[in-house]
Order: sequence, then C-alpha cells, then structure tokens
Amino acid sequence: MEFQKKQDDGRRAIRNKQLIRVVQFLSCMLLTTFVGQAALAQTAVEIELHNTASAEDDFLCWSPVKARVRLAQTQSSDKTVSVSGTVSGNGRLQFSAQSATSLTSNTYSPNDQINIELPANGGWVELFVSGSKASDGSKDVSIRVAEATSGSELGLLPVMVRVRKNANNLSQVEKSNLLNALASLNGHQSAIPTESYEKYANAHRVAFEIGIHQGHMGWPLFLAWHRAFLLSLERELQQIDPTVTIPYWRFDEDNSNIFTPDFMGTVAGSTSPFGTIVQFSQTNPMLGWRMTSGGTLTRLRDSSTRLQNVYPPSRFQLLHLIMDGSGANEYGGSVPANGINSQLERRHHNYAHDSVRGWLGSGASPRDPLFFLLHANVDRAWAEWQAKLGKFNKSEVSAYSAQGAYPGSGGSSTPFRKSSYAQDVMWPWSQDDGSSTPNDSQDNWPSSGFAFLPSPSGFAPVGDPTPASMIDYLGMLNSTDSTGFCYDHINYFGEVQ
Amino acid sequence: MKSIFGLTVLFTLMACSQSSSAELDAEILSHPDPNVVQFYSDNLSRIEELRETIALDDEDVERRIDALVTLEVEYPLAAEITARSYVSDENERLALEAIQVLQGNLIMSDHHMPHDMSGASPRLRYMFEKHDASKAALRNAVADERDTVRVESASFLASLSDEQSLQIISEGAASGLYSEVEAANLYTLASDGVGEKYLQGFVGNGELEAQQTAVAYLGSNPDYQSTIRDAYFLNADAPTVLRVEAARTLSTYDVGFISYGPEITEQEGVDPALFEATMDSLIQLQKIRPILTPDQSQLLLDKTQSYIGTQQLSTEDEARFSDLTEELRTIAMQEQRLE
Repeated sequence: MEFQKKQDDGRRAIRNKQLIRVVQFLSCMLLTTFVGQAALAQTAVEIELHNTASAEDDFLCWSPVKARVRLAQTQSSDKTVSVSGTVSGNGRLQFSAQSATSLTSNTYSPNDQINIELPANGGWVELFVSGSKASDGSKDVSIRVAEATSGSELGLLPVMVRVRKNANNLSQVEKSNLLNALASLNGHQSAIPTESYEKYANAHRVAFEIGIHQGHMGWPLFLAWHRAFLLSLERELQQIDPTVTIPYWRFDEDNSNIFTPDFMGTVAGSTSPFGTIVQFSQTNPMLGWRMTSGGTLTRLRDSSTRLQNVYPPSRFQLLHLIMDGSGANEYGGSVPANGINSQLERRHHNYAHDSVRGWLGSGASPRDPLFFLLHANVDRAWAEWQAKLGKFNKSEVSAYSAQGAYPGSGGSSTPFRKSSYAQDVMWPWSQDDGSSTPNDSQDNWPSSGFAFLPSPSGFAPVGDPTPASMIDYLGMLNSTDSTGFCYDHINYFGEVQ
Repeated sequence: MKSIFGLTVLFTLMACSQSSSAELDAEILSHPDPNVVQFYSDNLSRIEELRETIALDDEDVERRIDALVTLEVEYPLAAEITARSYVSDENERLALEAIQVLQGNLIMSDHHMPHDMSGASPRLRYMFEKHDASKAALRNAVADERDTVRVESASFLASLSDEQSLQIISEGAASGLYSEVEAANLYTLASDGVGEKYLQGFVGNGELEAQQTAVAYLGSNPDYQSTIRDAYFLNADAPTVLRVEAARTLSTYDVGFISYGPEITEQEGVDPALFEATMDSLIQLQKIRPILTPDQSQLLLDKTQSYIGTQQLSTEDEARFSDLTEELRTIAMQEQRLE
C-alpha cells in the first residue's frame, strides 16, 4: 500500500509540476493579454534540479548539485530573482551562483539565499544547490524563486534532502518507508518468494573469495566493497520508494528503538527461554521475512549490549587512536592489521556480527536486513575517519591501499585477485568472468547478473563501481564524483558534528 | 597439492595440541605476505613475552587476560594461534576470552569454502586453513562442562552452521549436558537447512518448549510444512499451545494455509485459543493478500458466530472474539461489495 502510495505521490508530483507550469503559462498569457507588458512583474519561472524536468530525480544531500532556472516566457528585459529554500518542513537548502562544471569543498560557498539574473530570452541560468538539513522522509522542502524586489513567488520545486540517519532516531514515516521497500523487494506482496533481495546474500557469500574481509591479511576490499554493496541495495530500494535511505545502526550506543516488533524485530518475548526466532508485529511488513531456501529469521540476541559490556575497552584503543588521527593513518597500512580497513572490520564489524549471531553470524548474513544497518554504521565510521583525516583522494595509497589495476596473471606474485585494485570493476557488478584468460585463475568469476543501478539523479558512479569510485563519495574533491549518499553528521566540508 | 596437505597437517597439529613457540612461528612464517612475516618476526620477542604471561597459570588472571587482549590487538595472527590452546582453560574467564578471540577471527571468514582449492590463491588457501584450525579448536569447548563456555562456543558455531558442532550438541542433549530447549534453540541458529534435520527430532517428541521451537522454525520451511500441519495444527490430540504455534507459523509462511486453515472450524472441541489464533491468522493474511471469496468470508463469519454460541467463554475471550467477529464481518461486507 505504502509502495503504491509512493508511486502515486510521485506521479502526482509530476502532474502537479506540469499543472504548475500550465497555470504559470496561462497566467502569463492572461497578464500579457489583459494587463499588457507592464504587468509582467508576475512572470513565472521554470525550475529544474539535476537539469531535468523529471520529478523523479529531485533528491539531493549535502553535496552541491546542479539546478537551473529560467523565465517561462521571453521578456523585454532581464529579471533579477532571489532563490531560496522554503522553511515549512524539516529539510533546508543552500545555494551558490558559482559558474563551474564542478566544485570542490574548498571552492563551494553556499548561502541560504542568492540573487540571480534571468535573461529576457528565456535562457537557463545554472546554479548549485545543496542540502543543509535533512528532510523527514518526503519532499518537504522546495526551491523557491521569487521576485528580488517584491518577494512575490514565481515558482516552487519540491525536493528532498535525503541522507542516511541513525536508525534509532527514525521517524515513523521513515521506518515505514524502509520496511515497505524491503518487504516489497523481498516479494512479500506475492505468495512466492523472489530472489530480488536474496541475491545480495548469495553475492556476499561468493565475494569472500575476492577478499571482502580479513583486512588484517592485507586484503583491501572490506570498506570499499561494502560501500558499493550498500549503495547497490539502496538504489534498488529507491527504485521502489525514492525517499528511502539505509539508516545506520549505532551498535556502540543505545539502540533500543531498533529492536522492536514494529521495526527490525526482536527476540525478546520469543517462545522459549533463550528464544532465537525474531518476532515481528502483525502490522510489520517484515512479518514472515523469508528466503527461497526456507527457514525463519533467527538471532541470538537483540542488540549490542554485549558489544559494550563484554569486550574489554582495551580492544578498541587502537581503533580509537586511528579514528582520532593519532594512530596509523592509512587505509591498509604497512602492517595491514593496523590500517583503518582492518581495524573497523575486526572491532566494529566483527563484534557487531558476533553480538547478534544467527543469520547475521554467517557468510550469508545479508539474509538478515539488519546486515545493511550494521554495515551502514561501519561505513559511517570510515566516512568519519575520511573526513577527519582528509582521505578522499582516490589515487592516494593512504586512502585506498591497492592502487592501479589488476596486473594480469602473476601467480603468487600478484597478491590480490582481479576486482581488488582501485581501477578494477568489482565483482559481482563486473560482468567479466575471466574466460578470455583461461590460464589465469585469479580473474575467474561466476556470472552474477548483478546490476548496479544508475542513479536517476546522475550521481556517480556512472557505470559499474570500482574501489576508486567509492573513495570521494561526497564529491569533496570533485562534485561530479558525488555518489548521492550522505551521513547526517558529516557535511560536505568534512566537518563531523 | 602437497603443500596444501602439509599446511593442513601443520594447522591441525597446532589446533589439537598446546602450541610451542617454534610451531607457532612456523604457522606465521607460512603467511603468503612477506610484509606480515617480517612484522611478526621483528616482534617475536614481544609476542613471546605476552604468550609467557598468558601461560603462567599461577598468575593473576587479570594479567593473563590483559596479555591475551594485548596480543589480539597488536598481533592478531599470533593471538588467534595462541587462543586455540586456551578455549578449555581451567580458568573460565580466560577460556571465554580465548573463545572471543577465535570468534572475532572466524565470524566472517566462512563464506564459501570451495571444494576445489586448486584455483585458490596462496592467501585464500592460508585463510581457509587458518579458519579450519580455529574452528576445530573452538569445537573443543562445545562439550565443556561449564554452561557459559559451552553455550558461548555452541551458539557461535551453530550460527556458522557447523554440522560437527550440531552433532556434539545433539549428543550433549542426549546425555543431559544440554537441555532439550537449549539444543532446539541452538539448532535454529544454523541456516542452509542444516538445523532442520536436528529439529525434526523434536516433532512429536521431547519437552513442550523444545517442540514449540521446532514448530515455529520448521513451519517456516516448505519442506516441513506438511509435517507441522499434520502433526500439530490439524492434530486434535496435539497440545493446544503447539497447535496455536503451528497456526501462527503456517499462516505466515505457508501459502496453502488458506485451504486447510478453515478446517479447524469443522473440528469438535477446539480450544478457543486455537480457534481465535486461526481466525486471526486468516484475517491478517486477507489484509496482506486478499484471498478469501465472499462466500468463504461469510462462511468463516457464520462458523465463528456458531462457535461462540457453543462456548463458555471467559470475559477476556468474549472481548477478543467480539473483535474477531467484527473484523470478519467487515471483510465479508467488503468482499460482497467488491463482487
């Protein structure tokens, strides 16, 4: 229902947008006819985000994206207008009239309101817009264009500042949107389970062979591969409901709102003393969460109190030093165990998986959707480290340790398999199964049929993801590299709140 | 192949015996990354110092645990090898710490073990051998006499769907080391159809709570749904609590529930809890995927009203059945309107 509602909302928004333009056009015509040229102070404008008329791509986060405005009708003279964001909902916007094809976090200087000059001939004027405060699960903020002198409104474009948030603090609408999208992807509306969701669990399993874990062995992929994996699912969910993002599970903080029958389920109140079968409420779309292989979702424990109470703080000392920038400041590290890639894996990630167990404790752990909330938190911690230490240069070995591309068959002298190097397209998105090089066993992959969906908003990566394309995820060094996802507490300028 | 065999023997020997420093060094030295080998070689004296502290059983246990934690933080490979020897240590806290060190290494390394290792890189081969050796060591704790040590290691290995551990748990349940409920819950942690064959043993057998767990779990698997349906849901001789559990699970997971669920209304002497659970399940199903025809909706409404008329219901049950009847009436009216 919610899914259908969202689709209807989307269609309604497009219709409204078209209607606004028709009304604006008719208003102009009337004014022109009956009032004459002098009355053209009421001229309407057209506004587009990502330089398309479609409402489907009207989403952004902290990174600056292109927008454009023009007069709907040619005029006798240029017109000065103000551009700002509405303040009725939760989302907030900022703008910059800088003329450039792309920006960096050092060159972007946005304001809450800017004035621009619209040419009389109806030509587009480009500007940059970014979010400064997150929306609450819908297009609750609009780009507002008004007459610079009188303040009369000339046009509105509803958009959403869509960012990943702490799952413990989601609004009811945000939770509901996420659960409905997950259930829809997993085929809950149909009687027969589909593999649309389960393919993630299967891919994760096989991908172990390319070294997506065990960073302390020197394998570089853990953080970069899982970032792409999260984004892959997120885009698939957004195809169902464009307002959805993957929230993060702060397993190192209170998370009592996550493990409830109405959200991610609970093992509290299960049928037996140390019950393991996850309980959902009757109204939770996740009720009956299933895989084609059968079985019901199990967890040993609900939350991560174990993580805080059982593991001695001394185990986290090295990670804390690295996160503060006072420890090793490399992605991989000359001693692999001490790089951020290994430390986040061994401390945050492994302990979180281990604290829950059941489906989340095995190689097929993405079967439990909690997997993605867990990994969003690991990714968030990596993003925080990147922001604090400025590790966004995809060509630097300290930002990603396996630079270059797979050098070809080198036997044991080639440390990593194809798919691991910065310029390699990662499996399962790579469609290269290595059949053209039969003597090289390091580049053989099963065909996955796994597609990395392009962003309707044109966010990177354009094409299939490489580790390099995951590094400057905010587009801080080049706004065109922005992947379109952001965390609520790390802004475009690398400030961690 | 020869080198794989050699490595396997080496790892297995280490897993099964108290490690000496020479053997441990050999395992680290066989690491495929020369940088890693160099790092461990350079720090061997520090590693040995920490190991000696861990081994001193007359020492303050806090100091021993600190040494193991430090080893794990600074030299994870050395810690993993060392921890294998302490999972059954006489000191319970040290044993649990050693188990956690192994778990931290094993948790995400079992994804997809290829049967054919010929195409595996040296790094991957090393990883698999290391994984197997640590898992073998951890299995020793599954039959430990101490509850904490036993359940900690068993719940972890069950989550990895480790068949050998499930077998140890099964034998432990037979000997009384594990309660039946503990065993049943541990089996549910396994995936890939591994736990099901052990849970099957509780169908019609064992403690009520263990059976309840088996019903809740097996009822979600299409391969076992007919068993749960016949042994519990439709079986008038089965305990009500188990029949109710079967109704909940089957209605959630079995698409065929709509065809046999209403049979409950035909049975005599059905407990109100089961009648209510079945009707409620059908109502919930109808909300997700409309499946009842107007005739079926009306029939269920009639049957429910008739059932209420024959029962001495408690005040609480009366209120619940009143809500149920109202919901059924609404559905029946909606369906008739749609028709």
